[in-house]
Amino acid sequence: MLSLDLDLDQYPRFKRSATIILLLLLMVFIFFPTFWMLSTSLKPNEDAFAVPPHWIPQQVTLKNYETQINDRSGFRNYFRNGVVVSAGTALVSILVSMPAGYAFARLRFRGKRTLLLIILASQMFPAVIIVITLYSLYREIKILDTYQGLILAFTSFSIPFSVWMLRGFCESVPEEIEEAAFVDGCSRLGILWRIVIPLIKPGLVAVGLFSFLNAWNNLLFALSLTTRLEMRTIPPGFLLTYVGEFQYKWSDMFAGSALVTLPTVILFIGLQRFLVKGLMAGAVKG
Amino acid sequence: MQHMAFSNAHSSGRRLRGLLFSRQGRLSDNLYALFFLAPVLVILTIVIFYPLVRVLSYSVTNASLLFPNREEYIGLENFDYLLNQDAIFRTAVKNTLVFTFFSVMGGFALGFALALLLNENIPLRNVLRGAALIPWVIPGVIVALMTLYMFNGEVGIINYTLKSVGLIEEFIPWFGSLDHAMLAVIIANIWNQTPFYMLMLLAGLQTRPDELMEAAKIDGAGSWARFRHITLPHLSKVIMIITALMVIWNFNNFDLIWTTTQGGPVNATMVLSVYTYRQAFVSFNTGYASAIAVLWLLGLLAFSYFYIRAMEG
Repeated sequence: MLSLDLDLDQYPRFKRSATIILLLLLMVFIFFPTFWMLSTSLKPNEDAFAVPPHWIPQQVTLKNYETQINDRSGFRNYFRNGVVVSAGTALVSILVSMPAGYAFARLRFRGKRTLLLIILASQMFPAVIIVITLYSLYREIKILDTYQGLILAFTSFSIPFSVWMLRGFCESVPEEIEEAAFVDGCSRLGILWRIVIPLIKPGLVAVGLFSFLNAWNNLLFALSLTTRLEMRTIPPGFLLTYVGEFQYKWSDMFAGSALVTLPTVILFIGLQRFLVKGLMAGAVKG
Repeated sequence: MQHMAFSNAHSSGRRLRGLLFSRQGRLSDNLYALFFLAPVLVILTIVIFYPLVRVLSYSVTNASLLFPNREEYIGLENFDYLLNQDAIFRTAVKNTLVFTFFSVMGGFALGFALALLLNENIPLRNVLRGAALIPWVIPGVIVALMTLYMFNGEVGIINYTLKSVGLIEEFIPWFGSLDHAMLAVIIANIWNQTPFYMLMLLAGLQTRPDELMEAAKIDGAGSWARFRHITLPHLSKVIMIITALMVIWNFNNFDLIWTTTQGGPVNATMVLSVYTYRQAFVSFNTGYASAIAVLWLLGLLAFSYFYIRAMEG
């Protein structure tokens, strides 16, 4: 057994080629579907049905993108709703998670550990279980089909991660600065506003982006808590437009998909650095 | 006895003041904590905790969305039916376990391989690390639409490729076939989640102490021995955490299956989340859906309990 176990570092050429071959295979797996989506979005719809398929579009057209952008009652409507609701969610998440994160990082109070556990555990509950009765509640307090209702629901799903992350960021602010301000007569609120917030801006950006993406991608709540077509965000809008149609409009569908995925990819690339930092900062004090 | 009670009351008054104000007469941390945490707690109560409590109370009623506020208490009837007569529920539990198990296994294996490979010194390493995250960032519904197209029975690229390399004779109607629908959604799900495992394991690999690897190499340990005795133990905590997270997330997965198959064909991909949603919003049986939810929560609780014990043990 042991004799079979080679030290691959002694065969650098073999190791290198094996690494690169395996990596290439995995990269095909990872990138091909996205490439295929983009390629199809640039074809006339008839070509999306071609067998054998054209790997590269024979004639490139931007018509599908134009169709989407000009679709007022469909795509543009969903896109606008998505932007409003996601931006609202980002804003509210920042506003409510910041003081909470600060409290967990700096204040000494009763039941701190328990409260933090409760907040973190809330993200473990299956969304479909919550939505069974959340729907009835929303109907009773009349916030079905409203932006406020969606923002409220989406925010609750961003809170655990946001509070956790901002707690980490607040802990990384040197305590001496705060103490100095405290001695100078600055109140807690003053410290939070004038000292902590400017120092944890990257954390606030990360929380905002994370919450935005969450809301942008959410299907279940957006589907259940809206009944009118005008209020649909992108995931339920796409679901209702494209799934179950007799004849699929693949090219249109993927032009639309590319258009709504682009913001998420850009935001995520911007976010990634902060996310890793946030996770690390959160993990420092376990 | 009386004396003690009196002094308790006395000191509790002082304690209350102590809770609210610090010695310098400023508002105390307790009071600030209340202000600072109130918004978050209010939102979580409205959107998560109150609906959960309501699910518990609905589970013993025949509540229906069609007849609001006319639910009647029916004891454990829902649970009785679920456990003893509902064959679809049993199928859904089984399918959920299959879906979760293979999704987590597949995603973990590929994500781990990718992390190990991208931890080597290769060209374009950082670009690839970033770009490989794309599948994870694509909204669930769009992942599902891509799946529908690629696994399409007539024009799908997967059938075409499999046939041209000779792996299949005839095109497979993936989403119309009892034997293939689950496989298709699991593959799509693995594709979607692989980057998450990669991201987390790569972060773990970067804190692996180089000295230990070097020392083992000098002692003549082979690549496999180093992996087995240094890398794996070093990553064990990350592995435990991400697999627990992903088991729970996959158990809850709704977007992919609802968009591609809605549980079909003939319940071949019926999982718990889709079945619960159908009961609640297609059949409008709020009470019955709540009973499913309660059993689900009990299962989740049991899983968390054993997992935490396993992690500590």
